[in-house]
Amino acid sequence: MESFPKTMEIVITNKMIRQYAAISGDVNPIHFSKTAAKKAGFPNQVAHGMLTMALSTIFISPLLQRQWRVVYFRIKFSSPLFIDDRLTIQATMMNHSEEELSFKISGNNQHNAPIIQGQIKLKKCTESKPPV
Amino acid sequence: MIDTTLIGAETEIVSITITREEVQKYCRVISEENPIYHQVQAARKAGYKDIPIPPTFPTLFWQALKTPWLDSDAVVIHSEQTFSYEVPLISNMTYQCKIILGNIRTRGNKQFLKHRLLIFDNNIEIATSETTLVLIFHQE
Repeated sequence: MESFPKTMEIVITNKMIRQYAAISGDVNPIHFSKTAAKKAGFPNQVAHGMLTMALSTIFISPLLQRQWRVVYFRIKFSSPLFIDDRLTIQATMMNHSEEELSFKISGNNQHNAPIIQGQIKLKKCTESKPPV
Repeated sequence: MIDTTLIGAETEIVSITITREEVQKYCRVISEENPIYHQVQAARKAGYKDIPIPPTFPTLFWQALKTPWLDSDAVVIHSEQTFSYEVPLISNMTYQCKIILGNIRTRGNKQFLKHRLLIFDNNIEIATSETTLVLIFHQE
């Protein structure tokens, strides 16, 4: 088992937002245009919340190669993240047993304002309870 | 504003199959390099029948489902997201999916819409994705 907490820093680029919009089909102009974002009440282009949530799965990804499976993942998006913002995500292990793991996930922007908060739970699949 | 009588509205049930290539494209966007998503052999070695679908992927299923109650001029913000899995989802499998509008809560010019995307495999519910959207309406 890797050591936790783990921290990751990532800068949200225009390329990431455009690529996520393309695969998700979410082409709301607030993601592409500063003018549209401002009209909607935001200071700059808004990153997709689901891009942030997807990025935060990197922490537990190696466990999915070793019998662990995600059974629950919840994220609350506290504030929007904007283009060129620097996101720092941290995963802290909350519970660890032979069969279950749970982590607290939190992410802040460069001003230390909370962006995401949540929890991810994994269960170990066994021979009696095959994964798929 | 969205009429609260729409609470309980459902989409049609749609069959969704995600290809390995779609998983890999998604993984490239989120910089996910785990071999279970890129090589079938690595996925099988880790106990999956085929390349698994990443846990946050199912919000993309919304593209195949029509949610007419969201057609409005409101600014839409994603406020909360939950995924629950009985088993992982796998590429090249066909799942039956529908979205239910579970609740609408109104506060001032904002409405909070709670949706449940249900994912079935042969009539057995195997995963749920709950999405809360905040709709902000322009004040007259």
